[in-house]
Amino acid sequence: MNSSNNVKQILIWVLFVASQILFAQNFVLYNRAFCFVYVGFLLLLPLGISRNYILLIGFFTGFIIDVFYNSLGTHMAAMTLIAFLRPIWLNAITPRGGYENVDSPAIKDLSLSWFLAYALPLMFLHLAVVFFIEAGGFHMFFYVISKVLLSTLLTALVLVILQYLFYSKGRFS
Amino acid sequence: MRRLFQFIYQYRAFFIFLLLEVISGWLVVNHNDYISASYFNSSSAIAGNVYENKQAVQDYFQLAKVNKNLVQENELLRNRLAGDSIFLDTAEVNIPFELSGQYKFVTGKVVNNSVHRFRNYFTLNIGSEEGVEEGMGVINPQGLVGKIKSVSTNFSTAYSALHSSLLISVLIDDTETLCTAKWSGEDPTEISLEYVPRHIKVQEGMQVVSSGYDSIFPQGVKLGKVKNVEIDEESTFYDIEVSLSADFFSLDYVYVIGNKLMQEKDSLEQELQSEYEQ
Repeated sequence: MNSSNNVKQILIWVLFVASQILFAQNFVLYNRAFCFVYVGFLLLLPLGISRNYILLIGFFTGFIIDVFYNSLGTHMAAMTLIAFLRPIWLNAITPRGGYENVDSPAIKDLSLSWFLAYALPLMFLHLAVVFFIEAGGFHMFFYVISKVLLSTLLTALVLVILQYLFYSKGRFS
Repeated sequence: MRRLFQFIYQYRAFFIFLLLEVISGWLVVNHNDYISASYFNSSSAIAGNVYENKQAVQDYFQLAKVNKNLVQENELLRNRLAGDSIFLDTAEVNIPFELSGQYKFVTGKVVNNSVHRFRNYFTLNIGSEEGVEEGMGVINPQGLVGKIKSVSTNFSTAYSALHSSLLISVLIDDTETLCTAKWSGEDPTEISLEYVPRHIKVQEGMQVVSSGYDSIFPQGVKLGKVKNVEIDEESTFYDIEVSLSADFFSLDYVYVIGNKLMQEKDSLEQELQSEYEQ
């Protein structure tokens, strides 16, 4: 990690968090599908960062989102969880060629199908934690699960579109 | 001892993870306390300013609607004024709560709002400088909207009535039945009534208004109309759905209600309670 790379990541963080607070927060389909695009920042972080840093980054990002969502603790817990699971999950689904020449787990370096296999379970877990804490228990199980599933699909769709727009080869790198 | 440190160092990622999860879990539990003054929410200066600027942009797209609402409220107030002043029979006329002097109103603007979560909040651009305090009620021209949760100098955060742990003391207007309104967490246009006993004859279309017993809202603030009434063979209470009269999708200007006599009433009731306990 050199410092220009750090600055770039901080800029991307600001963009992700700002777009979550200013736009994605109001983007709800059919009262069910929510867009939590800020999760993408954690998912797309470069591979070289140590696990401890990722945990702290996730924790801090969740905290900022919570302040704006009035839900202190909820997003922090969810982000910390997937920040912890990310390296383990990355190890488990190592692509055939390994991670050589791979900068970050994004579509531009790997493939769309690999990215979905990597991102969907993590996003599902994140949203399940968020929605079940928010509901305060399992008493509306099927309603909450439907929310989680639809939100996962919507967030994944938005993330894939964003990557084709901004993370394509040649730009930023 | 050295081996213990070695062990912790080896699995430090896991221990950091555990620590952070415990912190967030503690915050989740603590933050859900009913009244908790907290700086880390949208009434904080930074978050409030971000939301205010965001709303300043969105305002241009809502001007027509805001105007329409204000004109409608003006019409309502003018009609009420005209109706009252013709003849005043003090035996019959209920003094409207705005005129009785017990309540003071502060106008504020909603700068951020949500309706789709289980716990919805909105942020107002007024704070302690304008006289807003924790626990005050919030209404708009259409009806009851929420309750202030926390206040900073220039902003305040409020529970929306669409908050699954906010209980509102209400009356069914025609039968004078005291009951509790609570949001079920699903439809942002409906709220449920709890503890309506089965001997009451509830019909669709009955008005539901605030009771005034909680000394947060004056008596008679509209909440909505009964939409759906159901009761099981065995149960003691009705399942009632009320369609909300306030449109939570487009909150703009609201009034925060301060009750000047709240302290007096509370201390009187507390006195009575402590007498009973002896």
